[in-house]
Amino acid sequence: MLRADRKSRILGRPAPRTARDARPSFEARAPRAARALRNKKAPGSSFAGGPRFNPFARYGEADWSKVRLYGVGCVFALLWVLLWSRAWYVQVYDGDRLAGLARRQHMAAETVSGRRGAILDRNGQILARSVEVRSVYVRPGEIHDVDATVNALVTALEAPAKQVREAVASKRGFAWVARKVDDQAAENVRKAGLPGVYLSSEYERIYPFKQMAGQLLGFVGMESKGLEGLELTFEDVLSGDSARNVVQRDAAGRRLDMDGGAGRASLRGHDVHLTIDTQVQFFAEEALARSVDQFDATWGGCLVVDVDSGDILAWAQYPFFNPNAYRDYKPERWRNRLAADALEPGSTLKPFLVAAALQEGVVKGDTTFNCEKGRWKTRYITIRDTHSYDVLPVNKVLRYSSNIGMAKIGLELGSKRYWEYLNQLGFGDRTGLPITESKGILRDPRHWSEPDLITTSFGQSIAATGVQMAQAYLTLANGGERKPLRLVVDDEAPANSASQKVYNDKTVKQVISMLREVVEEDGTGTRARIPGIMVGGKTGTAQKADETGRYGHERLASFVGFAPIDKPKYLILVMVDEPQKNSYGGVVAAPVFKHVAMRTMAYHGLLPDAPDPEAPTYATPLGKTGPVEVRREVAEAVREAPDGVPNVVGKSVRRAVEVFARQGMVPVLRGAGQTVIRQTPEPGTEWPKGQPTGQCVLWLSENS
Amino acid sequence: MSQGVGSWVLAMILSVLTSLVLGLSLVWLNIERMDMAYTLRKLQGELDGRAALTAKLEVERDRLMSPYELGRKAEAMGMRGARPGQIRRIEEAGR
Repeated sequence: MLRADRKSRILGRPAPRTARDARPSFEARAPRAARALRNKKAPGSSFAGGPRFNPFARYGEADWSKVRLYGVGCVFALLWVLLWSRAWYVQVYDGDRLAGLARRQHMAAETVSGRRGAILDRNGQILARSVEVRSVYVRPGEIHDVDATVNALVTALEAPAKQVREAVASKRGFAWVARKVDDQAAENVRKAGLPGVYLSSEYERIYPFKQMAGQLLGFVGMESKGLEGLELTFEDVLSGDSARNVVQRDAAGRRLDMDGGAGRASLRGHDVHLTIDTQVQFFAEEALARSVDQFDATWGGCLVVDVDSGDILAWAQYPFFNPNAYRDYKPERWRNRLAADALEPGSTLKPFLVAAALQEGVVKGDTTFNCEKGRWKTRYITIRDTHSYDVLPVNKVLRYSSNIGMAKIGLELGSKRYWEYLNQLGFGDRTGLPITESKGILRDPRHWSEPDLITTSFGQSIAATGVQMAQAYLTLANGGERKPLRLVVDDEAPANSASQKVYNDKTVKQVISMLREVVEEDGTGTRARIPGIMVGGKTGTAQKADETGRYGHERLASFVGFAPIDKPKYLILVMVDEPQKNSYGGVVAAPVFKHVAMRTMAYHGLLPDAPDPEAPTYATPLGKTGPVEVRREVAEAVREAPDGVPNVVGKSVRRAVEVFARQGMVPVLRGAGQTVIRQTPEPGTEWPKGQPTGQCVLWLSENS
Repeated sequence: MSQGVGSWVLAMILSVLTSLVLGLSLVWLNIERMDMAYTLRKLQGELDGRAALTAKLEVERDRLMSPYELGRKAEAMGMRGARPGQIRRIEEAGR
């Protein structure tokens, strides 16, 4: 039908519509003869009927075909050219711009920050650590229902509505709602699914031991940058690096790590291992706090140093400062006074003058000084002692802490030589510890007048920090050889702490003996005694200048000592500033030394098993059923056989050992059980004489 | 002559086929890469979450194990620090 239609269009005649119409009309029929002639086969024609009649021939239809073909070819060529032109435009002419747009769409830059390093004690206990927390922010432009968003956020965060509304209604494109929220609040916000409200990750600094060593550790700000203490001085080591990474983004905007997140670990900050021992730190803080509270003092400080290594085991300061909530404190609370405050040390400086005088041969052990019955008027000043003394040998001058005696020793030695020793001990110079510290005050000896020399002899006219005092005493404890203090494990020795011999062995031995007398004899430090071990040290009760510059009523009570004294293992410095109820170092600070030394030695297994003359204090019922029962049972066992060996058969090994120990005997245990089944010596017999160990044997039941 | 042309045609066909295979492989690898990137992102998030939780738990453990906390508990249970004469080293005596 279509073919017929087309044919009719070509012939200029209407196409037949039906089968009848398709038959040639009468007029169209050629005469039979003519048809016969036309149907006669032409030579060379393949058709049986000769060359077919071609109605187009007379119109030149072959030319139209070519035109059509060319036309189509041109159209295709044009399209092809257009396509290539577009491709050239896209790829070459505008390629860079479009590539940039594509990159912006598919790639995103994100800044990755490494976690801040931790601060640990010498045993690996974490003193400061950063943990990942969530912060909530809004893009106010994306929020449609402000009231609903505010209400939902107030409920989720439990935050003040005013604060939340300020953020949500902000004109800016970004506003924090709450930073570093807890996990539950972050989860509440996430579940709420509020449009325009987002969560981001940040790191928060946590100090799990709260106030422990707070002033030493310092704190970090909201942006995790160290602002005080070790957090500040070790900022370069602790802080993690930041890197700007390009990540791929999918259609939903999710970011994909195409490198598998490699390199994140290298961004983390390094850890810092301190020499602090949290247990010893606890002992120091506890004892110090008790003393400061008891004597109503302004503040107190305590340093514990391991003599063998110079490691600082405790750095305590009270009142405490909790770095977790640094905003709640005034700056004076986080001030690291043991390093930053230089104070006149008072009598704790005296051993260094005695040692210098002994070493220089100015005095000998038996040299005596007239202490002027407690009051000596020189040409310029009048010096007083707290007690009236007459003539005292050098060791007693130190034992009783006579200012007059020390002034005379100082005058014998002279300014220059005294200054040289003080300088070698580190006074007037920083110790080199990685903290912010004061240099103290040690004036040039050329400017010392006679009163200066006299007062410096008993610890005035000179200012030293607690750390400097500890450094100087460490030299004495170390046999006269200067040894640097250490606060960080594997830290290199400070440049100004080169090892040098300040005092010879003989001098040190003499001075150490004098320090022992201060505590173990009738000196000023008898309250530092520890039963079972010999300790030594020096008390200090320094006058403090008031606002007018004159010495007022306030005092700095201090004590520096060694435990044990014969071979010092621990150096303990205690400072209690402006105590009100009593100002003597021997009363205020010495008991702190005793408490800290005793617990530190017990903790390290160095406390001997000698009986304690203060036994009634710890035999006192503790108010709890368990311990009272134990003590009662032990006491009853001893009472049963007051003149002989008590019967401990059937008792627990712990209680049996306790009973024997009360008599100074250390039994040998046979077996591994918990109950005594046999004992030697027999019950009722006399206690064996001689060695306390090996003469008593307890056989124990089979291990159950 | 015709043999040379045939080998050229064969080589061309092989090249086209190889290109096709390589192209398809490239597409397949890119899909796999994206898939793996999603997995990695998910695992990274999971790892970060667990690391953060571990850090928080360690901090909490250290808080609970702090000398102050233990001291409080010991005091509540009637214990106190040992004094000279109260310490016995049973292991050493038993040997």
